Amino acid sequence: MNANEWKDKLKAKVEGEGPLPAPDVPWSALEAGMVGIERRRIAWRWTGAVAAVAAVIAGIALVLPWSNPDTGGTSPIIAETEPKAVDVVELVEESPNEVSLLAMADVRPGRKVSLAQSKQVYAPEAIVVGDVNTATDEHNDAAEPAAVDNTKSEERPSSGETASMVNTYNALWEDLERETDRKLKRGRLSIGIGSGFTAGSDIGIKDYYEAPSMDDPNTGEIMIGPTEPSTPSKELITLDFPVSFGVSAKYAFNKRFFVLGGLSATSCNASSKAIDGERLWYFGPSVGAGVNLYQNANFLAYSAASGKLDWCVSRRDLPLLPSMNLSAGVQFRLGGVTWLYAEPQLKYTFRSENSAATVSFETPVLFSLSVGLRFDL
Amino acid sequence: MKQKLKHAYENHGAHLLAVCRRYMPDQQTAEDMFQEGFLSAFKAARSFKGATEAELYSWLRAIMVNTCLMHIRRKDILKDASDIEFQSDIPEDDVGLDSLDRQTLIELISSLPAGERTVLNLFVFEDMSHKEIAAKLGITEKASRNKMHRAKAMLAEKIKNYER
Repeated sequence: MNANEWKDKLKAKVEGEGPLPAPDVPWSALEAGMVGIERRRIAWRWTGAVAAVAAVIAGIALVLPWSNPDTGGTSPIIAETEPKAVDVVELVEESPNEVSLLAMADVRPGRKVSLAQSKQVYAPEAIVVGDVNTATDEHNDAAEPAAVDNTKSEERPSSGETASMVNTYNALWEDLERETDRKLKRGRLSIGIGSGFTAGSDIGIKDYYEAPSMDDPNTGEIMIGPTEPSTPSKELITLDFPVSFGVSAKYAFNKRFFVLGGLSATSCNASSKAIDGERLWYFGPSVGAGVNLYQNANFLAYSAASGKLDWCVSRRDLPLLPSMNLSAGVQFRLGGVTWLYAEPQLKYTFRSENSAATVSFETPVLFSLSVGLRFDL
Repeated sequence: MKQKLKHAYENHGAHLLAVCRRYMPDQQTAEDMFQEGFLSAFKAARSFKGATEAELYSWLRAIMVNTCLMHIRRKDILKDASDIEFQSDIPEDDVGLDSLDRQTLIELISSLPAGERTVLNLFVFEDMSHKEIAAKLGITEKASRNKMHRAKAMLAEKIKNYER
């Protein structure tokens, strides 16, 4: 027998016919590992998406500098010409390259600047506007106070004028802050629409026990008996990667505290012996309270705790799912009354014994992310 | 893909486990590799372009072999690969393959030392040349030939001892 014959014979013998032991690893163990991989994959995908959104927001925040009264260099300066001579407020910038829409938004609550005015004022040529509407200026008309005097566009105000401008601007800023405070103190209602994504499965049910039912002999009423953990009709139901959407309302009592409530619908794939591949719909209310951690005219960071009750409207025999959410959110003003919010949440689903079944959970704590819009009323 | 893998598990699980068993020294490690191989297949599901069951089996088999080789490399059990020529006094035709059943033969192969076992598996069952084996395992071609020669001799000895 030569080497090749030996090799072929060995190969034929080992890979040919004959009984082989079946693997001890059950398919359920492999499937559990695959669910873990899916979870990690989705968690990474969402982490990437959140990081990308955060990077974009951070990029915008860097490109568009925030207005700061203490650092006039990065903000448009609101200068007031001789108050007694002309009662006109104009916007003057020191550095045209640092103009930003966000900076403009910061002065919005107090005094509105028309688009035409802002274009004129923020035009690169309009470095400084001074002495408008004075008797000595032959090129300007008192009826057009915001017109730019190109003949003097290269002039800089004197140091006294600059100090006066900064003081005026600071006074105006304080006025704006007071107005915002007044609004916050009397309470503010906002309405939100949003969507939530959970990075994982098993939001609800794992081991499901059918409860025995029996008729009450006295009243004729159908009663649901207590569920024994050892009930043989144990059924495994897994809810995969739920997606929620809904509406919410948030009422801020003051600058610090708020309450919130909402209604949401959750959709997820269910897999079990009985309802394999069925899409389940949960619907339920939520209420909670929270605290604002930091806020300014365009940004709000907050933390909230809320309770939620989910009811499966597509399979009404399934138990109610009470849960608790802890969230830490951020809001960015998109413009006017519109805010964009992103709210990472930790959700804990409680064991439920208030219906015809008892559920227990292998992974009751899940991470989810809600994003949406809020509108101040 | 999960359904396809489940189908493969049910129909070819024993064969795929046998592949792992040939590469691993004991049943427990082989089961671990089998499980790891299936999870690797699930992770790499997008790379599977085949359509038939045979293609799926071949793909899974290749994943099982790679999983075992990665385990062997991780454990660094090929570090003793030597270039010393092994002189066997066992005739090649005296191996008694016919007298053994399939499972016993697999267990005898898995009882070989790691280096010899790995080279034998790659040479005989994956139809790789010594050059390819050397490149895959990071050893010299001469060491691969030497280990193959030694594996054949050791296997013949084990078969002879088993028959007694």
